[in-house]
Amino acid sequence: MPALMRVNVLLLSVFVTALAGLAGCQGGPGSCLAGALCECSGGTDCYQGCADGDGCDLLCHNMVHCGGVCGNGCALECHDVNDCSASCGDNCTATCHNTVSCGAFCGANCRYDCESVDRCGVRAGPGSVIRCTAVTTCVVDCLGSCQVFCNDTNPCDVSCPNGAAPQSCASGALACGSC
Amino acid sequence: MLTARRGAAVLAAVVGLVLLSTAGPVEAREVSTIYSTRTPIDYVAEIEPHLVLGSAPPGRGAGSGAGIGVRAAVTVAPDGFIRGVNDSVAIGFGLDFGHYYGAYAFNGYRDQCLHFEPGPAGTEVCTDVTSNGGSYNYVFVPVVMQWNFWLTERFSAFGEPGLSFYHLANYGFSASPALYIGGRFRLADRITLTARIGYPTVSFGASFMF
Repeated sequence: MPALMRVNVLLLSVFVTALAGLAGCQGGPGSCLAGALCECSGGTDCYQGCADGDGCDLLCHNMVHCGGVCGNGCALECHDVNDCSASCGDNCTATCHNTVSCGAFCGANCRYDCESVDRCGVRAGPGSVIRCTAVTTCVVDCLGSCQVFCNDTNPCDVSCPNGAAPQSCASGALACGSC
Repeated sequence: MLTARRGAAVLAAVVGLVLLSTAGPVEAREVSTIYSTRTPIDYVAEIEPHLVLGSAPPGRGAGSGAGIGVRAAVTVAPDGFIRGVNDSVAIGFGLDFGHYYGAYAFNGYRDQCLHFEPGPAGTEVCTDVTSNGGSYNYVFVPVVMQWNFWLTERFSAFGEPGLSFYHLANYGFSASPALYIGGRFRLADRITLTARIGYPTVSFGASFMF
């Protein structure tokens, strides 16, 4: 083989090696499956989805931005991050603590807890219960009946459907609809 | 499938090593020009179409990818920086396109948010995420100082510190540091094979000098 061709083939083989190695590199667990705890921590950003749509258990912590997007019957938790985001369907349980901001959209019968947070903003469907504890600003948009418990939180703003005023309940909750 | 790909990678590596072991006589015939006052290729500008590969891209993208691009360089200091050494300096700029797959990450991958909506209290809520790490289209515009060292009549090496401006679809423009080292192998009077490794990409192509 002529010397020049030999070197050309050498360079080409190195490049092919790099391509083949790259194609063979598969890593990571993929999107979360229902019933399994999917944890994400460290680094800067992590946003998890639910491969099965419903029933995922998503946890993220100790990073800058994180969040989860899930269907019905999901559990979402995040802590020790700057910005935490949660978006889920009906019958979800979500917790957000020790963060700068917690933002959430959830459907009916949602349980959402904010604790030790600077800003907590939740838009929740009917039948939801929201708790803000040691939160600088807690803003809740209720899309139906809901109850909001604020403790050591100022202001605690609750908006109800059709501009109705929330009512104070004996339990200490602010409620849209009946207590 | 995965085993077959890895097998191909190992085979290609073995072929490369065998060829490398038989390429010695070529280098033995080369005469050093590193202390010469004459640059082996007399040129003022260079244009280099190439293939690009990359991993762990800057910004919010993830994974590894491949694409095509072109680099141009204009010589600004033919005598270089070092007296007595055959070096030269050029300003290089380029345009590279790379399609990245998050799943092809060397350290695992994470899904990314595709869409944020404003929430109450000034929050932002992610409402859509990628699946299996997603895919990302990058356009890189590297701007570098290319410091060349003319080693022999056929071989030259270079270092390229600079910046790589980039556009990531859905996330806009940004910039990252860029650093490359590379080499050229002369095929004809003003044509070389050119390869570079570094960040954010590696490339392999041909240079045409004018």
